[in-house]
Amino acid sequence: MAEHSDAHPLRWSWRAAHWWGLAALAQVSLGLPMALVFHGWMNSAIGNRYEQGDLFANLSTAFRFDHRESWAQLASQNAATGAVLALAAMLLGMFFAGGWVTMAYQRQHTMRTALQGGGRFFGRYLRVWLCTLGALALWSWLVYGGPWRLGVLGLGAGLPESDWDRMESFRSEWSAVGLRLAQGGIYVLGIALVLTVGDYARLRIAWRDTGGVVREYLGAWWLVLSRPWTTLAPVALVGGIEAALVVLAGLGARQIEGALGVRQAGLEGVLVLAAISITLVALRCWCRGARYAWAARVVEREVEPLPKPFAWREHVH
Amino acid sequence: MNLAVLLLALVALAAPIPAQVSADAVSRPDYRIAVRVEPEQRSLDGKLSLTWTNPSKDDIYDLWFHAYWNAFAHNRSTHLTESGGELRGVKLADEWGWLQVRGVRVGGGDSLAKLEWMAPDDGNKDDKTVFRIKLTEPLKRGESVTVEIDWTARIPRVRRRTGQKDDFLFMAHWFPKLGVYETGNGWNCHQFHATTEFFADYGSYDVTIDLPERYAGRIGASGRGIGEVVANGRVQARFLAPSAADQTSTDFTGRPIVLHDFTWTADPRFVKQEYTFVWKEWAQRYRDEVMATGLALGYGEERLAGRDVAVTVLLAPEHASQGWRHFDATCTALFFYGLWWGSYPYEHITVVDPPWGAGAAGGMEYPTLFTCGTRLFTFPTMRSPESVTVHEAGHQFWYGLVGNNEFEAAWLDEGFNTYTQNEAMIRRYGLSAIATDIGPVPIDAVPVGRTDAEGLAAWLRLEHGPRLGGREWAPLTRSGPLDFWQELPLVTWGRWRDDPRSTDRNGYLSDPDSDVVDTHGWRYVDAQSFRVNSYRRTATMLRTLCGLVGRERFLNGMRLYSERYRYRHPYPDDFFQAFQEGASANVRWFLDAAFRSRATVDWRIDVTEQKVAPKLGYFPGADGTWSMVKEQPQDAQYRADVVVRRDGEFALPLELELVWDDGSKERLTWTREEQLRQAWWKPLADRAPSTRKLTSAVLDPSQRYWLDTDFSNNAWHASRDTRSALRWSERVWSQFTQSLHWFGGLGG
Repeated sequence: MAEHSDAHPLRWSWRAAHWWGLAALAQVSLGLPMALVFHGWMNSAIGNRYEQGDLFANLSTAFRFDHRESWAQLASQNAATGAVLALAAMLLGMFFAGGWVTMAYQRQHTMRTALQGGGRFFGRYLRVWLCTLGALALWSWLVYGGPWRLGVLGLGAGLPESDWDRMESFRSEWSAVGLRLAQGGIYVLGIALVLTVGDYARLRIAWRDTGGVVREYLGAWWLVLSRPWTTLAPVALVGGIEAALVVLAGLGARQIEGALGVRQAGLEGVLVLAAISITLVALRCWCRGARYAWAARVVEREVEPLPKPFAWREHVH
Repeated sequence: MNLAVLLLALVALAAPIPAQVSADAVSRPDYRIAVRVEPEQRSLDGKLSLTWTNPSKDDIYDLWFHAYWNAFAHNRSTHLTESGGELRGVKLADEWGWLQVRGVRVGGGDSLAKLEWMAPDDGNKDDKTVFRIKLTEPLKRGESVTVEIDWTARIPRVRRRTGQKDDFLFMAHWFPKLGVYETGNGWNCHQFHATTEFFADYGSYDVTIDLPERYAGRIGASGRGIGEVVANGRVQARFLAPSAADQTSTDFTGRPIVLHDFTWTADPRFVKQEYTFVWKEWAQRYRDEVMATGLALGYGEERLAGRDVAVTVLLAPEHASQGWRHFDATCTALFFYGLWWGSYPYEHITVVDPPWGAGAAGGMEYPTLFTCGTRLFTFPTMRSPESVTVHEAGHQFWYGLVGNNEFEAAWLDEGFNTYTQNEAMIRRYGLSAIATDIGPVPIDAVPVGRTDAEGLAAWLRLEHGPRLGGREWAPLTRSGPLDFWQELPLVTWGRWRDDPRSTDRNGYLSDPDSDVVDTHGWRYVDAQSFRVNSYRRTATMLRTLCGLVGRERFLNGMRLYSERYRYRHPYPDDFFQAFQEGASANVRWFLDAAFRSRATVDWRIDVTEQKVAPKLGYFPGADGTWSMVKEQPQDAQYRADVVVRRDGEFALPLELELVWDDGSKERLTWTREEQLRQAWWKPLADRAPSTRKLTSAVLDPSQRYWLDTDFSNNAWHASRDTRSALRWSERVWSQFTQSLHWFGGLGG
């Protein structure tokens, strides 16, 4: 069913509940194997050895120490499983992105539209992902590699090379901490930018219905850097909403965690924590859809279709 | 040195020396020191005068001194050789320090030519941390000698407790220091090893410190300052340790107040905060503890009462907001240690927070002055800086007042202190939060399901990448803010709390097999073994000893030891003897096993419970006639088969608590003698089946012992705990779900 093109992206993507709900369900399901393995291990470790509820409020020092070897083994196994699941999550992300993009340009919310879109653009978005990884590697090097160390620590702060790790030459801890915080902050801002460029690359590819992934990826960089306000403002706004949701969820979760820790809550508290997490991931998936919807409009306005039959002519006027 | 300072120094040097301690022939050196420091040149010029009386029956032919700073002179010193050329992880290249003796006068005569460097431990001729001065005439019992030493030093960069960093000066073991003469054994004056600390006799210090004017009002030292003179761009500060008032009084045991080291610090950036520890306030707050201790020791409140103490806290400016926490932790030590082991006798104590980049000076004790160490961001339940502050303040008692030989028996102070620290910590602060750093910011949360990726897993999580141009190009670098965004710790992480007594046990079990506790400090196989045995294992053994003999006897044993050896130098056998005498307990077998062997133990319980089938079949009656018996199901009975095993060398009387489903409880004991006879025990073997079912069986229900290598097999419960696994699995699931959402965003 065609959706009014003036619908606010947030409202528009809210109405695609089937899609963001499916995405959330996928992520929640992917997280289950790790939890189930951990649950099995812990049940086995507890056995008949601990009194009911003894480890509920706090996982005691003694328990963690006595089971450290088997826990370390579990962590090692889970690392491999978690990594595979992370890869699966990334692949699923490509798929769901295709669905969002297709729904946005077809102005249709149907599951069929989304599924078709997910399949249609998967291969191209896989290549966008590779470009993104390359950009991230470059960014990581800039901020945590030679350029930062030489440029900021060496030339900027005047630290001798032998002190680049510890930064003890500073007189005040504030200087070292400030630099570390700045470094970390700049790093995540840069990652956010790289991911945003990836979003715009995916939208450009879909808008132009082209297989020139690298060209469109570079075009996305140009688009974002040449029109920063136009391209980043909507993304930042949705990001702000998402951050607010995360803060609210965090406050709620901390309250519950605190209550569990002093035995003021029981299993019902655990269920509430789980509900908070599920709700949050669903809302974050919704926000992701809103970001695509909003950014799609930017691309429609700012990016010329290729000189070939317009792929979305039936849907976009 | 200008005239004013010279005059001040001469006055100090000429001041009368306090009366000797008489009764038990304890050697007592009294120092007069004048020092001038030029921080820009990293130079120190000092003069000391020391008068010492031979308390022994031996004729003494030489005087032995420590020159600790020469451990940092070059890379061939014993200290740096043992530490692999590194100090606290930093390879020394350009931060050397040394101490050069330029003049020696004994009884007024020049004796510099009689100075000889010694290496009594390893024969290392390059190690110049010990020297002796041969005397022209032997010093007989009761005779005194006055020694004057002039020296020059280069101040090392602070890498091992002492030195300089920018304007911050921390002067520890900075002057030529007399060793300890032991009757019949000669001079106890060890080289400065990588894992050893210090040992000296009790006496007094009168020290005048000359620094640039910018240090005025920002100098801290042992004892108490008696005034600063600012003139001609310099400040001269004089300190007496013990303070003048303390030197003319006695402590609660009736002994003169003395101490065995002098340390000082200065930094124009110090923020100085002054507080007062008021004994009565703390005694009121912990009334129950005071009463229990008094009852156990048979002491009235007067004998237990401690004195009020002036507390000066010197902080780096960025830590100024943590001053009260440092003070409170210091009071915790002054109160609990004083209550249990005997009151802190000095009128003052100085707490030092080393500035950024000088952390190597932190976490160390000196008489009436100690260093802590904190960080910019810390929340109260982390118990940092509280834990290190209580520990270092606590050293005023173990090592400061009971002056064990830290070279040969470091465990007598480190382990005793660690034990007491954590007993005080649990009473004052309870459990501590486990914090996880997000960059430089700690948060009160723990990733329950955190895994660290290696190999292929790291590749899939984008923490590894291809190597090009000589470096690895990983898409992601672990960073605090990134972790925060990926895992949303405030939403997904759990909260854990630590019991400090358990961390003692954990520490001991991290390396229980390498060495025995009672080993000379430099003879442990490595630094880890030194730390494990001197600190954690000793603390765990003391806690277990308390459980073995009971709190009352334990307090009596420890108190007798601490009072008897106040201002003296006990060795391990002194402790063993005094403790048993005070506790009225013959536990030499335990003390030998705990401190002179590598014994461990794992007690384990296993339970099976079977329903005994109702009687069915032909049974003889009382008259011998066989008849059919068929019991009804409601007559069914149960047999609980409980097996307790002991694996290891320790055998301590062990309680077992059994709880039955009718609510009844019983406690049984597996005696030490039974454990020595056989390695297992079946306490219910001779019992007939009953209608009661066992609900739980718990070894050591009162948690008297802390040395069991595995607590997880010490209990059995009929009903399994199914909720806890669910509770923590939810955190794992939540953490991975949010993390996978983040990775999904990378894909699209």
